[in-house]
Amino acid sequence: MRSTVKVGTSTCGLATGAEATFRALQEAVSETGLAVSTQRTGCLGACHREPLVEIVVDGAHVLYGPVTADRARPLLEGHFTLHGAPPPPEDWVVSRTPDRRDYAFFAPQVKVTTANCGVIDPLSLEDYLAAGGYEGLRRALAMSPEAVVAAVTDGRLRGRGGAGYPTGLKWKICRSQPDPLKYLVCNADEGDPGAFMDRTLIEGDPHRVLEGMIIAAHGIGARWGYAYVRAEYPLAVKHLEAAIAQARDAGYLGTDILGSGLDFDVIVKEGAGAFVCGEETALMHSIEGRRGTPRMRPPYPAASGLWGHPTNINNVESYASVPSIMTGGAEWFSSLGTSESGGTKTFALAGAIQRTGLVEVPIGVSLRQVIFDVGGGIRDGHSFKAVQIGGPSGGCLPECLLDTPVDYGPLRATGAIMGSGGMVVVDDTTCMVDLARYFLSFTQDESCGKCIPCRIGTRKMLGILTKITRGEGDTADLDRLQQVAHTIHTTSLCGLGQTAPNPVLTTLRYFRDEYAAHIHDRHCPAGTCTALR
Amino acid sequence: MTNSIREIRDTDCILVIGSNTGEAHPVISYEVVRATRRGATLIVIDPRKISLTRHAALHLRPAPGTDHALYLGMLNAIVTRGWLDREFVGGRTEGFEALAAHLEAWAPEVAAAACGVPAEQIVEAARLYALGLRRTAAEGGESAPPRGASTILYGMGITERSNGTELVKTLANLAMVTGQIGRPSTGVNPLRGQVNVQGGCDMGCLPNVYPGYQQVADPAVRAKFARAWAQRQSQAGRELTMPEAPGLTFIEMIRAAADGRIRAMYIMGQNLMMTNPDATLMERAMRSLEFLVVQEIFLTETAQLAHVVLPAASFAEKSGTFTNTERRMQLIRPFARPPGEARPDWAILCEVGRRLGRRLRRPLRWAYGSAAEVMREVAALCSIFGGITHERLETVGLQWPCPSPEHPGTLFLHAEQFSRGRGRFHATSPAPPFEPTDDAYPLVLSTGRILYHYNGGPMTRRAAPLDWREPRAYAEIHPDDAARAGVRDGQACLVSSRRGSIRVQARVGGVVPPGMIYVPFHFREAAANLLTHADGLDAGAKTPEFKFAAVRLERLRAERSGAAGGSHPPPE
Amino acid sequence: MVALTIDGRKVEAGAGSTVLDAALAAGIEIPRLCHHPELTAWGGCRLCLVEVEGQQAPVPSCGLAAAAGMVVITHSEQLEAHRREVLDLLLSDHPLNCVICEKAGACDLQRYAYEFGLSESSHEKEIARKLYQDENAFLVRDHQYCILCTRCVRVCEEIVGASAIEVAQRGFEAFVATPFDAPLVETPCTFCGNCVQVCPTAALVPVDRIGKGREWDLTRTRTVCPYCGTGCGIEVATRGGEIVSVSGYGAPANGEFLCTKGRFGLGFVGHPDRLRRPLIRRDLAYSLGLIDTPPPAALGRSPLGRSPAAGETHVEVDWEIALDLVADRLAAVVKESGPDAFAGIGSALCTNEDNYIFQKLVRGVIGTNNVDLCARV
Repeated sequence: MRSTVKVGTSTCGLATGAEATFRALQEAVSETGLAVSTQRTGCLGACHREPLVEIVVDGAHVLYGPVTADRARPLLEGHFTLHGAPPPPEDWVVSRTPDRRDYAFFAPQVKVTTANCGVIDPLSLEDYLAAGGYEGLRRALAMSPEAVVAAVTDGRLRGRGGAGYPTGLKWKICRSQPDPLKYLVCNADEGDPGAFMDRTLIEGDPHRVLEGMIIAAHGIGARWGYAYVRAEYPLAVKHLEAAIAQARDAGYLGTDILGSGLDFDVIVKEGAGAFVCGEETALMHSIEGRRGTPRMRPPYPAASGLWGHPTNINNVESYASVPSIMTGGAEWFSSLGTSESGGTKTFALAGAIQRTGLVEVPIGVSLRQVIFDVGGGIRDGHSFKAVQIGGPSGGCLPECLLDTPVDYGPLRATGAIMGSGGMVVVDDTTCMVDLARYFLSFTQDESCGKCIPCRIGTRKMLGILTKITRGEGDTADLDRLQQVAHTIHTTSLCGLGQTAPNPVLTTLRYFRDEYAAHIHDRHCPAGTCTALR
Repeated sequence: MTNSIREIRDTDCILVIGSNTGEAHPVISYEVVRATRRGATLIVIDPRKISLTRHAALHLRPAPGTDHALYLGMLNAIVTRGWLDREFVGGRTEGFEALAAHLEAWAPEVAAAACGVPAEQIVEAARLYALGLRRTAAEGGESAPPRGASTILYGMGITERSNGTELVKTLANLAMVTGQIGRPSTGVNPLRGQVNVQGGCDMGCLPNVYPGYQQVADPAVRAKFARAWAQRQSQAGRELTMPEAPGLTFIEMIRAAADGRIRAMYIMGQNLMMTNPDATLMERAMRSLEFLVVQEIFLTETAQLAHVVLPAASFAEKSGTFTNTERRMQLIRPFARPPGEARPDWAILCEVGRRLGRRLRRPLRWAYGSAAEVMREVAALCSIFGGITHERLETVGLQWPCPSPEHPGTLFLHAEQFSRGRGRFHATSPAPPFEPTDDAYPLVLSTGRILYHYNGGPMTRRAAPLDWREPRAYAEIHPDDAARAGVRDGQACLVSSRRGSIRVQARVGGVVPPGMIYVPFHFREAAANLLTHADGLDAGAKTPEFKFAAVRLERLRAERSGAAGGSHPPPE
Repeated sequence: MVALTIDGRKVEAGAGSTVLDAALAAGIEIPRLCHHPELTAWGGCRLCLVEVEGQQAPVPSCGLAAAAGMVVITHSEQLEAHRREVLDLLLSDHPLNCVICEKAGACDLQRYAYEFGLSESSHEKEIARKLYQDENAFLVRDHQYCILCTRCVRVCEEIVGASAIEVAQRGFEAFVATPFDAPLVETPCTFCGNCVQVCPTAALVPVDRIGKGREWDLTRTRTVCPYCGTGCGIEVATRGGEIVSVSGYGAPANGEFLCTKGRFGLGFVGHPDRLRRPLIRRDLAYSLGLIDTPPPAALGRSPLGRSPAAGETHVEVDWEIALDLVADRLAAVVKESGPDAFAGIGSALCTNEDNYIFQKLVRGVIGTNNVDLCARV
């Protein structure tokens, strides 16, 4: 009999006490003398049930949660029926199947990039290899770089950072540059409030991200890679650095990788706390040791990036998708999604819903499926009002748009964006004006100040919104908001500024009556604006 | 300069030698910064860690006075490793075989032992310079890009040396053996220190040449000037004979004054008490004169010794031309009125000339209506300035040679051939400095400029912001030497040579290497030139060795450590 | 060369030029605040946006490489509206006290506000930066006027190579700062003032310029800096003969840029120590009977480090007396000991014309080649 007790000790688990749970379980194991091994693992995504503990006995899986430290011993004794203990209460049980599809949260999900998260020990190369890790790299190295790029193109992978630029095309452009020295960057400067896709991926399965980068290096001809991880993710940095060290020792990084002749290595750079450094040109400035401000494009990084050399920048999830394209094939990958884009997309589902967490769904499912089928709908006693998708750069969509598929084009048509995967659901207790004000205060605060429209325009918009939430607004303010928003959107230098007005524009478009109530009736329908109570 | 300032930004490799460009020629250093930002490789050869080293790919720090070996080591590497430009050497030069044979003794390892710079750095500098490699090309390695453009910028660190002429010839060897001359963004470029030092030479204020570098020894030249200068045409051939023998050079004049052979001197706008070596000797010479006239804008240290001081208009109050280091003659225009009765120098000189001519029965023509008229006479007498008039300079400066009114001026020299035809290689050998260090005076003193001051300071020290920024004399001292002498950073200390001593503030840090002290010469209260020597002049140019004197450093007792100051002779 | 169309005109652009370069070369003005021809493109002010055929959004022309066949529109109703909006925003963050501003008449922001007819901002007035830094003798940093165009930051890094300043903080709080807000004197700043030169507003002003007159009161004279051999072209602004400020104007050797001496070092010109009349040393004046007081002992002391009071060593005389004395004494020496008992030293600080006349005097009148220059020092 081979038994394992796995505890999800990613940042989300740790925040709910998973470390104490893990220690309590270890203690209980040694005190009870059970022949089970305890293992740390990443996050399964069901954050609403953390700390999660999975007990695997001879291929039989039971997932429990939340398992707080005080439940550790009763859980263990109950599961293994020691000293005649009763089985753990049924409401502790999340799932009893290996694919966990018996739990509604998991049923509609398709796990590709997060397949190993919460399953394997992220610090164990052996675990990753056992789960089929680095097979994609082996296959890629057996292919020509052009064929690798073609596979990514055929898989219809689009940039998961939010803009949705076709990844294969990006690689091809970078590959075609005559400069022999090329760089590759993994953008893990995840800054959207409420978003934690990159963190979960790196903490839970760092080798997958690394493998994607190495495959990209082969495809592009890059010699060096940088992983730019925000400094607020110490565990992700630790796991990635550990994975890099293991990969070097095992010959997946360094010179002549797996005897293929490929030379490539990865350096981890920690960010310094600026949201704008998620913008690719600002990110490169930061890596170069300069002030993290965006610059004009063109030239695009693919032509002139780090230190003037061609540089390919993708985000964590894009790289994490690549090994699966190599192993599963481009056709399979593209078939997961829509005719426009292949594969799956992760979302950090948060807000006023039953089941929050990190979810991965095929591109093209509807917002409704994500929020209601996966997320279980709105918490008891309240009703759905809006979903903010794409973080502060995205937009607020009302109920009538819930059948919009999660895909780049359709979401853009609504005034929101796909974004990197932030999805915040709000119910009737949230004031849409205040929500817009919140997101704008975030972008206003995070504006680098380089260009005038973003530096001053967001400030002015914030001023007007604050005025409205205080009940001091007038009708002209709405036109003014619209006008400044238009200027900021059209004339700002980088994506941060260009998209900063989106929350305001979409709430104005879909929830104009709430603005009107604030202005004409001096009333906040949600009751959140304290000045108007 | 053989080439122009603006060409520097397009250079692939820049060799800065003995020039603290960032402080002495800041605007030229901007060109160097621009070049490095465009990917050029910057190599600095200087014992001091000057500000430009921040942008340098290589900083070679030869021990003071030993750099000649370094250049020979570079030449050896270039010749033995095949980095030379055979086509240029074959087509444009002569004497290469002799040079190559001479260089056999100067393997980089030999040079390294002589100058203290590691052999691999010498070889790398040689490679980068010879092939004109940009930073990216230098990293790239194996693939051989076409030879880029390299330039040499040098300053007084080369010329203010007892073997300065030999050093300059050695740098010329470097440029010629690699073909790094006669093209845009190449050349051997001295950065001249003073606004019109180039023009003063061009105008014949030299003992052996008339304006336009026409030899005094040439009878035809003498006759030409005699004819032009004579008041009446008829007098020319009969009465006005021009001196034939070359005159004395500056230091020779000083020595002649000190021992009575020169009895009278006329000094125009030159504060030699502050800016020349061995201020004690300078003062003795000035005091020995029976009659000294100084034409000045301030009562400088030199003017204080003059029998007559004539008040001159400054550049701000007169018209005329200055010629910069790239041979560009530019118009200056008055923007202020002269103070009191001060007059333009040339106008004063014309008055003196008129009166003196009457007394000596050598009446010349002095009736110039304006500076522009003076320039017309210059143009008529000198072919290299033949096409230059104030009118043409109204819009933009012109670089000589500019022989005709249609000529656009000359951006860079030696495009097709050298002045003498084929460039000649000179087999040069290092020589020790004139005054080596010893037990009594164990440190090397180097003097020079700093960013905020100029010459003896009469101008800059009267410009309030500049004197606010750098108000007192100091000495840069290496921490090891400071510790040995018990001198602490910021304290006053005593620097002495065989000729005198000065009290200065100690600036202890890593700018100078161990064994070296650097003292700016701008501060009259602690005149660095009390320490320098006027011996061992360069054989060719008769330039004093400002960059090498033996000195010692001492701590000052508390009661004496107040202000900076100087005295002579040295206290024993 | 590439051919493109700007505002319906066929325009040729050199290799590497931007659309802005091409437009300006063709005489087409495009508003701009952060652009400077000698500095890398910044793209922050968003005024130089143009419409390019085939592109959805307007593009900043300062960073857009001119390409063959490109069709560009620099002025349209849309673009003018954007520019006006951007200026309107900028003006809300700028003190509009042009009536007392040192830069009035030379301020780029004032110029565009005038061109767009904006007398004030339609937005709420809120000036982000209040810092006033005058801790040095060269330049004042008055941050309320700063529009964050970063020309100063770029000139300091890209041209001067000092990198003494950089934008600190971000967004609305952003300002141009030294490392750790140290005084400039503790940074690598060389006080060259090229930041002042490129500043489009009154954020950077020379200390000595303050209160010296409006821009239109000033007389400008182009001449050459009197210091090192670079021979930088300088433009001296004066009022009533007094120097107000010095700037570069685009001369061949230096372009617009200067060093600290050229820009801040001309105070000697009007200094009270300037010599105003000819002087004769007191001992000589006494022996000639020009004065009654015997010469002071100070005459025998070394002049190094001394600042004699006016009249301590010399007395003022008329030009006639001085010139005749010079001619008499020099003639006497030459007559007694021959021309080679005389030596003349010309000046590297005087003009070509001065030096030409000097050697003419020495060679032609005295009759010796004993003439040299401080070229050897």
